[in-house]
Amino acid sequence: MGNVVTIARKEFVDLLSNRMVIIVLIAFLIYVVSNVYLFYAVLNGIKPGQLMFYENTGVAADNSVFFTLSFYGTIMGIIIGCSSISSERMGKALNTLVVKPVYRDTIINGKLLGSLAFLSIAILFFIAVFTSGFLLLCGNALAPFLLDYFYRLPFVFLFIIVYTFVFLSISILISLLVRDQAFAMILSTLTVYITKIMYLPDIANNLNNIFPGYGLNKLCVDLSPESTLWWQVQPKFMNTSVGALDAFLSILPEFGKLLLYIIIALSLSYIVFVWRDIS
Amino acid sequence: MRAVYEVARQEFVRVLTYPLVPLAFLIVLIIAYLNGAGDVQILQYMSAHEDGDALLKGFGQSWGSTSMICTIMAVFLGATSIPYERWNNSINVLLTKPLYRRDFIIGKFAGLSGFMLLFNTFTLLLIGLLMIVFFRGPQSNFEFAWRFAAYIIVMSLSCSLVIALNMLFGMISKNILVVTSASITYVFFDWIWYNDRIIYGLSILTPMNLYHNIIAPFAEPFNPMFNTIVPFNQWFYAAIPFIAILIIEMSILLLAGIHLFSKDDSI
Repeated sequence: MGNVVTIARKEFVDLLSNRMVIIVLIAFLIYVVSNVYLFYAVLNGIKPGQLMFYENTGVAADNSVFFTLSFYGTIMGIIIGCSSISSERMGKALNTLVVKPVYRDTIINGKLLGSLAFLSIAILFFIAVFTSGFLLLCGNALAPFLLDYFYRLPFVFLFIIVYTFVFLSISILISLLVRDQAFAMILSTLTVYITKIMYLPDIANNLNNIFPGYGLNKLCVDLSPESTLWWQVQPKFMNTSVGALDAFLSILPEFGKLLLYIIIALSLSYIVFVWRDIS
Repeated sequence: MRAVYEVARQEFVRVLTYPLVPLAFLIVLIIAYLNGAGDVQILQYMSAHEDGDALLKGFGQSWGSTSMICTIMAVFLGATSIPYERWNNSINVLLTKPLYRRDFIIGKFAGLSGFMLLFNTFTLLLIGLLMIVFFRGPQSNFEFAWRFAAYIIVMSLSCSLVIALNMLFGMISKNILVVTSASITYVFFDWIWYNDRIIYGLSILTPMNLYHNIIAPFAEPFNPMFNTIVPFNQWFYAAIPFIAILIIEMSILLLAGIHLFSKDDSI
């Protein structure tokens, strides 16, 4: 356990000082701030439109956090997942680590723990930015619904972690499978593209038209994490007529599905890392 | 000129063996087949209930997924072009030759743009042919040829702009992973995030928005480039300002890249 924690701590520090990760997180921070402003602007009629779940400003604010950090935040998962393997591979540190008297599963456990800790801190930071922005800019409108906002927030945090961790674990798997780390990053971006298009009519409906009767349309929609988030999770999770816990319990099947993706990707990563020659 | 041609040819051949190409090819093949075989009923419905050639509208059905994969390919080919040369040290050999650095960059850009032109032509030809096989031929061959050629040129111009931008990333940083992550950020910024929330009116200058505005320079009727009830001239004149911005932007990025690369002492 001591070795795992040591590797996890090293992983955390490495990610914190990694230029690639910093570039991406700064870019995403700008996007987060722009979304806070959009919430304020729409709420105050500066920009046209209506907030989703506007009847409860607290839930509307939760929805803004939830959707921005999960739907658009997959970039965090990709970059952290790729960086955790690529920086070691490019610097040849992985070879050194592998010849030390530690089990390979200790290395991967440490890396996963460090990456998860870093991802959690990054998400907590972005949630703090959202919350401060909401309180500063929309405090009056949010005040009657503040409890609703804060009750749902821990569940939102939990869901965002799991959602982004799906992409993180897929990126780790790809980085372990592919020797060229720049190409591994490109492939990880392609996974986002695939989850994005597979539920669109171009793919899902057309597939169903070619092979009717197998429910392929629904299968594509069900398999894509993005459509799961968009069509299945959001309406139930942000249901303003139920409490935070009930809303979270209602999305447990989808939550479980995302966990299953993580388990599959991580199991394959373990197999690849333990059995393959790493260089 | 000869040097530019040689660099472009070498870059074109290098890209042919890049592992992303067969993968993108496979994705395009799947999209084309699904679009051709699966979209027949919708095209028949359009043909019966809407004005204009339904075959051309069929291109509009899959333009998002097709354009995105072609752009992703252009992004990463552009971004990794120079860092890969640095990585395997072939750039040192090249720069000892009697070759202007300017010609080196222009050659690389021309090679990649030529490749994207070929890839886009192949992609759209495949989609068009499969629609013709499963649905029917065009109502007017002349009209179809014009619009089809325009679509290929517009998509390739957009890819060239993306290549120029991402080549610039490759000149700013020497670390291939930093360049790749900057390119990933670009893909998210332009194709996944709502960038007008960050840069407001300037978002019109991003490659994806320019491309979208060229395809649809006015909102009604929908997708005028693929809609034969809009005369080709009307679409073209409306798209000219956006095409001009795209070409100017591409030239500026390319010049900036040449300037940076020529002034860099530690290649």
